[in-house]
Amino acid sequence: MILAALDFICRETVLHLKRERLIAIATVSTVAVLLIVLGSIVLFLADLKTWTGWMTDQLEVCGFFAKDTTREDALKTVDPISAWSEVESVRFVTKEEGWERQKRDYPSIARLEDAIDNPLPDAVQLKIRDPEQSARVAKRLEQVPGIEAVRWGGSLAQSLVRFNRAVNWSGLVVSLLVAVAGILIVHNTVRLALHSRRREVYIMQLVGATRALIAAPFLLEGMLHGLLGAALACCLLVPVHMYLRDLAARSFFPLTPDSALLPFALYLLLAGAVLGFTGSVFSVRRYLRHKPEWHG
Amino acid sequence: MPACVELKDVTVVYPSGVTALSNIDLTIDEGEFAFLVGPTGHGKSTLLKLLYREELPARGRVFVSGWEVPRISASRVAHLRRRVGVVFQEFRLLPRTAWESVAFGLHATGRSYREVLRRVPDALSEVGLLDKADHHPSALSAGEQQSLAVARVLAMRPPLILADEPTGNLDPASSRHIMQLLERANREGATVLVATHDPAIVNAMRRRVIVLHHGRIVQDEPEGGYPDDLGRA
Repeated sequence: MILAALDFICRETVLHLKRERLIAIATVSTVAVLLIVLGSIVLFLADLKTWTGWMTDQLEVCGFFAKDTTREDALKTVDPISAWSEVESVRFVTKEEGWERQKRDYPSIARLEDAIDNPLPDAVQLKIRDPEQSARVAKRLEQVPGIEAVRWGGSLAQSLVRFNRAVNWSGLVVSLLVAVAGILIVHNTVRLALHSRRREVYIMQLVGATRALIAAPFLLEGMLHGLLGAALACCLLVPVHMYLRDLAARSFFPLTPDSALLPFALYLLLAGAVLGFTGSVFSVRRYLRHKPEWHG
Repeated sequence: MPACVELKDVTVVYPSGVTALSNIDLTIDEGEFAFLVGPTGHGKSTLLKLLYREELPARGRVFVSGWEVPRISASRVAHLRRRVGVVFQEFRLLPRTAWESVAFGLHATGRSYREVLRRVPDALSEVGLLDKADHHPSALSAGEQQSLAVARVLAMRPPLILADEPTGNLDPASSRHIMQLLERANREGATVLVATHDPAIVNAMRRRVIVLHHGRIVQDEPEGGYPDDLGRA
């Protein structure tokens, strides 16, 4: 009985997909466009998160020791600073190492090497657990004996955090709006399909088909529309993002890695299926609530 | 003989305020064949609709095979309808082949493939359409279309068959054929209730005749004919 019912559901779904090809194409392409918008928002947010994460990683609090502080005294401060709860890691940078880095990063300095003595002092570089704590850590670092100057990203770190949060919220709101639009579109398409198949529905009701069996082909169809739309969206978004990531990587600008695209595609497919299914549930429930009519 | 259909003091009022049926008391036993006659618009179709729960009474009780129809839950309506086959004047066929039309109801109620493969040819050959199994309704005559509608019902093997003006769109020969099919189903055990205003078939068969006029039963004879004065009553 269950197998026969499943077979009936699948056959009816395939038959209707074939018969109402135009409706199917219209729905699948509209869902695809919506999911492309939704997917783009998600990828943009993910890229932004990767980028701001990378930026905040670059934001360090640096403490420069006074010239008259001996290296031995400077090194003694590393362990106590490492014990601070806000600090993830502490790196001691000798003035020689700092100078080498400057020369590497700024080749013009390298050219003047013979003319200039190393002006840098020994320093500590602190990586902070939460970028919002940077200001507090900077102030605390100023109190450490031997530290003469402290430099940190300051307002940039906090702006990045605020920006990230704002984008996350607006992305969530836009995604919800897109999802609602998708549900409405599928809902209307399934209503159309129900209307064009009102005679089949009527006969099914008349011969005593259960509501579940009547509804199932429509739900499956809605879900398939959503899935196909999502697959189309994936086919566009994934290669485009891979290309953009490749371009950005050449400029040392990090975007979401390709490895994250598989789970992204799976989530998008799931979103398409859920969207299609939900839209269908609304229409079918509404339609089946009314008493059957032949509509000659 | 236990009752297949029982109506107790049933009144149906449409949302427009029109009373379609008034204080109907009626019992039809299992295996009985009865005609429901009366002018158009006097409640025949409404009475049939009560039996497959397309209409609900404003008052009174309706029983089909012991089930109190208005009281059954929405989820049980499907189970009631499996016990009631309906034939309409306008055939109500799907744009599918004869085979698919008959098989559709069986599939839709979860019958196994083996059962479908057995019942569809049986039903089609019973109504004489086996050789037209791959024809669409548009390629069939009116009589054949109604035969197909009957085959769809016969394949479901319901204990109660309702026919609402089944010969209304047919020529006399086709009408006779349809009535023979319904009579055969009755001989095989189904209770049959036919709503009609065709005097020829009522008078030819001499079965129980229930006369409805202005929503009331005005006559109920065990082997009656079509009342001559129905139009003037």
